[in-house]
Amino acid sequence: MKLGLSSLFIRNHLLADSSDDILAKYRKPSAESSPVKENGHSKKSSKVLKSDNLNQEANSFTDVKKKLRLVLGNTSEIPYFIKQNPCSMKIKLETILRLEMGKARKLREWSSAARIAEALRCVQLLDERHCLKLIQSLRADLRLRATYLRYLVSSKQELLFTEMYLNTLQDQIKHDRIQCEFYFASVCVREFLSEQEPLVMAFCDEFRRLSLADEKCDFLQNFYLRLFEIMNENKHWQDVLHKRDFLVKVTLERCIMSRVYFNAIYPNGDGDRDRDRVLHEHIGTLSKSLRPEHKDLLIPSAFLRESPWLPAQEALRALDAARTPRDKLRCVSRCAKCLVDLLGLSGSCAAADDFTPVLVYVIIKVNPVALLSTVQFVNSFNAGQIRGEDEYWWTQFCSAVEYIKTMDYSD
Amino acid sequence: MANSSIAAVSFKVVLLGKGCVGKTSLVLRYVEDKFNGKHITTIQASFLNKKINIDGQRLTLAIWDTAGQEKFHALGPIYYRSANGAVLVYDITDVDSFQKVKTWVKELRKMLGRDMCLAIVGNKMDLEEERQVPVEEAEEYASKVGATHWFTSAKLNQGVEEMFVGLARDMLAKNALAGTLSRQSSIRRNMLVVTDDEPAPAKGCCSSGA
Repeated sequence: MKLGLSSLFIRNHLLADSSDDILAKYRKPSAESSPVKENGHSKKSSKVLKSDNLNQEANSFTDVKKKLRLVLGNTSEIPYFIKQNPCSMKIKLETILRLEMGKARKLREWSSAARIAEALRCVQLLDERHCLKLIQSLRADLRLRATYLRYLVSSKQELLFTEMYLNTLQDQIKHDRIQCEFYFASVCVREFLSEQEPLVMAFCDEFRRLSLADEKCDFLQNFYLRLFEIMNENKHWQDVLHKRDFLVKVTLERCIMSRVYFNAIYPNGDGDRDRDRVLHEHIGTLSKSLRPEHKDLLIPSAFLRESPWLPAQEALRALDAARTPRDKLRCVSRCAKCLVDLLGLSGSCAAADDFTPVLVYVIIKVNPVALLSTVQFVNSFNAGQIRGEDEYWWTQFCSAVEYIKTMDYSD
Repeated sequence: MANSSIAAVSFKVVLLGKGCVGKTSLVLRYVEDKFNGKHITTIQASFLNKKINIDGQRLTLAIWDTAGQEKFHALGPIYYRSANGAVLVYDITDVDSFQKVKTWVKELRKMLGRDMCLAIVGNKMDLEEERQVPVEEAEEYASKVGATHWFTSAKLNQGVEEMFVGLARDMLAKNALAGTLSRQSSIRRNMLVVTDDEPAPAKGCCSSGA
């Protein structure tokens, strides 16, 4: 394509100017460049050399164009004031190149600085008319390449889409891996616990016998430590535990806790159940007549478009199914974050002023069983281990439960 | 103890104040440098962490926003329990909000004594011409109850950073004081144990030291 263009240029050139004119022009600016100078001298003596010479001129023209394109291809933007300036094309070109030169020097990109310096030198050798031709030729190139450019852009776009798709796939696979590891850990832990069955049985009996919550908690933590010690003595388990100790810990907690769950969550048996049932009925009655505009909530109308915040309700429904304090906490955090996201949809940042009443509403609508016992369960078995954001959401949840206790049925 | 100057310290700060005094704007301005961002953001304003560096001491402020509506007032203790500092915000154009701050101060001092650092903040100082709470009254009150007093404008981003940094300095100082006190008491206890168990060698130890 480049060759075709230059030949086109030569033809135009021949038609437009008389050859002597051209030669004269070329001679003057390229006075310092020795090969051209020599050519200039030889031209006078023999007319046969002229076409040869023209070819060389054309070559130097394509050469300059190539250099210029290389440099300008890396230019991000040509300043507006240069585009609008009425000065000559040559000055414009030189200004642009000098600006690029400055940039390259500042960034210490020496190789591109050298290229720019070379292009600048070549441009300085040309005169105004030639510069205009150069620009025209570059423009024609651009037009010819437009289709190719469009093709490149769409290819790039497609590549980006493919990359995104592959990244999603990779994420899914990663997630599958986590899931598999989780199942693997739970199978291993169950296997391990079935081997330790007498120990677990003894633990369960002793756990039920203890009456004070902090005693139960200490006893449980010590039992976990003991089980970990037993695991660590086994070579086979050391391999499993390697980099998976958190996963194993979580699974172990789930298995042990589900064995003593009802005793742990209702340490006082029927007394606790009765207390929970009273609150459950209270919330049930509240729920029947509850609207977001209730006098104790007064949720601003700006946030009502996402009402009744179903995804957050769904997240909170898992609370009863969760068996360990850790899982219950996670469930509450998930519900809270979900609410924040939903409230965020209304366009403003969800502050506590907006969040607390909506959380109260969601808890009432979900009406989890054993609410009071759950709060007590998490606080006594996870005391001091709740940190950071989880602690904040958990506090919000506890305070919402406290608030619900004080609500009455008048609208 | 020696490590505490290098290790990051975490302080819990609760924001208390009547609704609409600009608690949220204040904390958003401080943590995200945003005011009333209308664009959709995923960030929430109720719990924010801010890492700061004071004289080479790195610390994290966990800032807890609380619902300011009067009906939620009774829930206060659940939030400010175990907090190191409280930011009590009032609106300088709203006398009522200043009264609310006084109620909070009274409650906090009653429940937690002097353990907590208090910063009383007059927000919306950009509405100076509509001021209803006199400067002298507010500053006098703050010094009387042992709190620092600040004027801020979340809208114009004035005084916000200074206020939080000032509070952080107070909390650091209080923390260091508590640290040295507990260290002293633990040393004293150790001494007692030694003299109780073996009186004679302890005596010798003392005389050799003297």
